[in-house]
Amino acid sequence: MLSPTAILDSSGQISLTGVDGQNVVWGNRSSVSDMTQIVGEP
Amino acid sequence: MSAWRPIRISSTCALDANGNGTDSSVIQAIFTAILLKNKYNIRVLNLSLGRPVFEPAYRDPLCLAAEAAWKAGIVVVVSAGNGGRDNSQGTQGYGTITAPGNDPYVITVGAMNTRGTTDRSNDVMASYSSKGPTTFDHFAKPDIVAPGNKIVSTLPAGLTLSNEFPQNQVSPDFFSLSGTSMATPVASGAAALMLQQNPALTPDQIKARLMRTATKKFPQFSVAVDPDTNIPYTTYNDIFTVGAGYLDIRAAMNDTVVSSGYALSNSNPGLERSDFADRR
Repeated sequence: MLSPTAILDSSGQISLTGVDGQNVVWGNRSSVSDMTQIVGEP
Repeated sequence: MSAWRPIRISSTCALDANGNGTDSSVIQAIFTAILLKNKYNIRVLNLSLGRPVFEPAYRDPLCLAAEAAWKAGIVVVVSAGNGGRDNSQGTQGYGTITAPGNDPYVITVGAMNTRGTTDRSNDVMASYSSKGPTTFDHFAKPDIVAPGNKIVSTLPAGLTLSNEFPQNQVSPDFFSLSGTSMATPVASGAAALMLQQNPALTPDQIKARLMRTATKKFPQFSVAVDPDTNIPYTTYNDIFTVGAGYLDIRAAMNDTVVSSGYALSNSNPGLERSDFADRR
């Protein structure tokens, strides 16, 4: 029985091979950023 | 008196010059730290970064990489996120912890505003500090809070930020920034000091001591006014805002309690690590 397989490529895209054998884009994972604020609070 | 080992700082490239990256670039950096752990005696990993949460932590690649470092014996310290003012979902900033700060193993750090003084009694929560619980899993986060507002630190030569925001430069060698990105290394430094004092401590024991000894005394709420927009933001200092409390490094260093077991951030009473593992 086939099971879903997730592949993380070098560009940050995750592809999911579904149980029907078709590739679908699961989500765009290119959104990590630092948690910096330029302007602070008084 | 015994001689203490020096603390050294190593860095691996997770984000680009603009502070942006991908899951894969961060995962690669984490795995590099794991691979080099023994060579350079890497004991603490600071991750001042995050992205929105797309799924439960137990199947999020970024969280799994952070967990791998934790299980390799590295204390992983992660920023909570800067979404504390975000009301786009009508939650008043609750439920805005970013990944991998939503992982129950890691130490997730929120930001306090010291108001530019060394007196802790006038410190308040920074209103932009993300609040729990985590989405999907409902873990109680952040774990602790630490100074993160207008933090002055060393300025590397050629830093992109210093070129774009010269008003934040306080001297040729120092720069001021805010955010949970700034609070996180304060907690990382505390963990490094604890390990310098006692290298036998495990990541779970470090986390337990930091949380146990954190100051629990907060005002019921505080109000911060954005200097640009003049919009006031009220922050209520509940468990999803301040976690176990305000980092107290001296208390953590003096703590002698050796906890056993694990220090998973809790989602409901009685949840054990084995229960979490069983869900995989």
